[in-house]
Amino acid sequence: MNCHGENNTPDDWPAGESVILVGHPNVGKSVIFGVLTGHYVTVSNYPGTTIEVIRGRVSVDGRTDPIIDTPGVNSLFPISEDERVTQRILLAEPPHIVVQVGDAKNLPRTLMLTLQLAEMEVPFILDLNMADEAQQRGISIDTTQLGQTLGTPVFCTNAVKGEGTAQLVTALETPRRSTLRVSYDPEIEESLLAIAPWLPATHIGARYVGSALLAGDDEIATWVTAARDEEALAQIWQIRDSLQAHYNRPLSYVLNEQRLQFAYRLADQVSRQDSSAGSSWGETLGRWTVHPIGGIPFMLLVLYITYKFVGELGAQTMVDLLETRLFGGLINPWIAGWVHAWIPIPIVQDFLVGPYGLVPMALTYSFAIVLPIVSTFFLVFSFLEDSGYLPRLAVMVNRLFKTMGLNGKAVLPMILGLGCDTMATMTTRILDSRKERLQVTLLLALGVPCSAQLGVILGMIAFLGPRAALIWGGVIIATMLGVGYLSARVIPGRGSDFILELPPIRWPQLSNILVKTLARLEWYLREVVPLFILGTVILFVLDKLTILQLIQRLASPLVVGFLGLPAAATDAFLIGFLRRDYGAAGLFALARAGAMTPDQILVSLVTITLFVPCIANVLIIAKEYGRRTALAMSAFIFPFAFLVGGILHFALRMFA
Amino acid sequence: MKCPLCGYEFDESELGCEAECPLSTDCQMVCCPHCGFQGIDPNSSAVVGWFQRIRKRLRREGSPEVQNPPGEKHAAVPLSQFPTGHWARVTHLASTRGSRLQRLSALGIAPGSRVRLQQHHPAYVVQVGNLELALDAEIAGEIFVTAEGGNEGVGSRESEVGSRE
Repeated sequence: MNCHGENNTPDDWPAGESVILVGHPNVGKSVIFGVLTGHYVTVSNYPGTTIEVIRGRVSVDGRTDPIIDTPGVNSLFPISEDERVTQRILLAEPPHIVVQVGDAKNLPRTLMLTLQLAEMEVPFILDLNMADEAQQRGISIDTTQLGQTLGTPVFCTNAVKGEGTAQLVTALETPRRSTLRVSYDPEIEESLLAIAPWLPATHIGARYVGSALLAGDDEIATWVTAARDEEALAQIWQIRDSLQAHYNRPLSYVLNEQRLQFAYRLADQVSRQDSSAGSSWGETLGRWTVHPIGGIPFMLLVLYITYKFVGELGAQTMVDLLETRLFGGLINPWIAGWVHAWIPIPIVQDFLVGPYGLVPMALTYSFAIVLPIVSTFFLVFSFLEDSGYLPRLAVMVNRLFKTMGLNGKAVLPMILGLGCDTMATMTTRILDSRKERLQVTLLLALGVPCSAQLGVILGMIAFLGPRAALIWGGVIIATMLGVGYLSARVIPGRGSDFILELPPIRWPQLSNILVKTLARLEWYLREVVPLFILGTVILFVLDKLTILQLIQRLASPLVVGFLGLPAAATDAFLIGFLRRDYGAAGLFALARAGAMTPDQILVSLVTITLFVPCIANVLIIAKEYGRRTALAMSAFIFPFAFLVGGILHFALRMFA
Repeated sequence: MKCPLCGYEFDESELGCEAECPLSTDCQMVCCPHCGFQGIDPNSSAVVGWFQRIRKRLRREGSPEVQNPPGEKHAAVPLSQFPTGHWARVTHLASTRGSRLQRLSALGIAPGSRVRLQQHHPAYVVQVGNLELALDAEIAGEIFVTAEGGNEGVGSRESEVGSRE
């Protein structure tokens, strides 16, 4: 998974040569991208996976052209930031060809975007993807007739299975512009004609630029001012205002409405839906997953299966095998013997195999404890992602999040946070208001454990049984609700609308799950293991300089007195500042060694769960919202985590 | 209300309560002015009111058909009050917020589109063409629809799920 994509700008490509993929969210642009370039990019069954612009190369006509995968858009009159990105790319340079990837089973909606591309006068081909799902629902589309009406090639593909993609590649060689135009009301048509002379000459069609200006698109307005002058813009605004006086709705909506009705008529002409096709198992299951009553046991079932798989198979069976047998029984003694025999320098011996040594700590923690746990969790998570369950989960927990002033759309980044908090923090861009973005970022940093961390935590809970699991879950959820509720009142601004697209439930493809799991594991090994090593080195140095003992003594009132934990837990919290799963792994090792009572494990677990997820997350917060916000959040979260842990400690003692 | 003993119908202003009764104000008892029978007013109970509201809501969700006779022009209702499981035609959107109108229309909801409400809780789920959207109550209340003649596309299974809600 790409956690730290660079901020690409469209400027660094040769003009006029690129292939640009455009389409609605969750229609399979990334799959098509993978097919065209032969490279894998993260593919999921939920809208908004591609938040960064992804680039690759595709061979067209004997050359290799750059190809750009853009974030999904609902309209080329942007509302949100990611839609803006796609619009910018299309405006920035004359593309060689645009490939619109559309959903075959939602033809009218797909055509709405097609009509905008036609008015942009960019050469494009229309790819109606997910043709199999359309077929299942009894939809038949006459692509030849649609192609003739549009004046551009139209294909049906089922990209996941690679059906129809060969034709698509061939079609890239013969770009064509569409001749189809929406017929608006006469008043609007007149205004578009009146605006045309004031527009700068560009590769983008005047009808698109004109209608974007009528819709009040600020970015296009700035662009016109830059290319012409203030005078032109003033004239345009005057035309728009007199047109607006005709309608009692914003022009942006009037234009959309007329375009949609045009699209509906066109779709009626070229497609038929056989209504006798019954609902598939996916639709039936999909309905149950958001059912007000049936959805809850389903949610619990998903949780239970995850717990069984990760907590028992991963954290117990596999960790036993790897830590106790392989590392504890074979690798560690063997390396220790080898080091003692061949390297006679005591400090190097200590650095490699001492109590804070690389092998017994960094390597054992990462490969014997965390790796088996996260592998099992990544498998489950990839399965859930591809099945389309996650947005439905957002619907189920909508009510809960509403109490903290967040709507269901904000739930999506929270659930993505279960994958990677850093990536989820970047996904907060899909939210419409800054208030929500900040709130979700704070809650992600505070309470949502990422997949690696959740795995280790689930593994520890498996030691303790259901009572501890309930207390842990209850404390974390109550804390999140409380902080969310308060932050909704502290952070100014208003929340955004909850309009969420629910993708159909699909049976995931095994190959995609495996590929994703592998990609995540690679990310984990590359990003996390170096941090584990760094943490171990820091502990080693502190230990050698006897600062560690000093810190333990200084922190003793906090760790031993306030939290009631053994002094050795201080080490785990120290490295927890780097990554909370590393800290959790330290606690896990302590727990397995029998150094903590069940209540102590529970308190330490709650405290480490509320830590900031990792250094990378802090850096991303700083990048997205500024250093002061990142600092303020950290300054709140760490003391707060200890406070909640302490309160739990006293509560447990009182009720014991 | 109607006295359960003698059948006399009376309203609150004629309650036959004794003025010196320690419960005479703010109690849930009612006394019949005709025969003096004391009973409980079920409408004053919060619990009963709560159950009645739930029952009403369940009925609304599962009600089989509120269709007017064909050919007759009928008034548009907010989608949030339309029975689940039936196709409807959007007549207008009552929202005044530009961004909301723009987003709904970009997703295919505008006058003339066919929509079907699938459920009310925990969020409104609406089918537009072959796309499913989850919406807030507030937004669902701003989409005005009329019942569509005929019931094409509504399989028996959907009605079943609808009535269980």
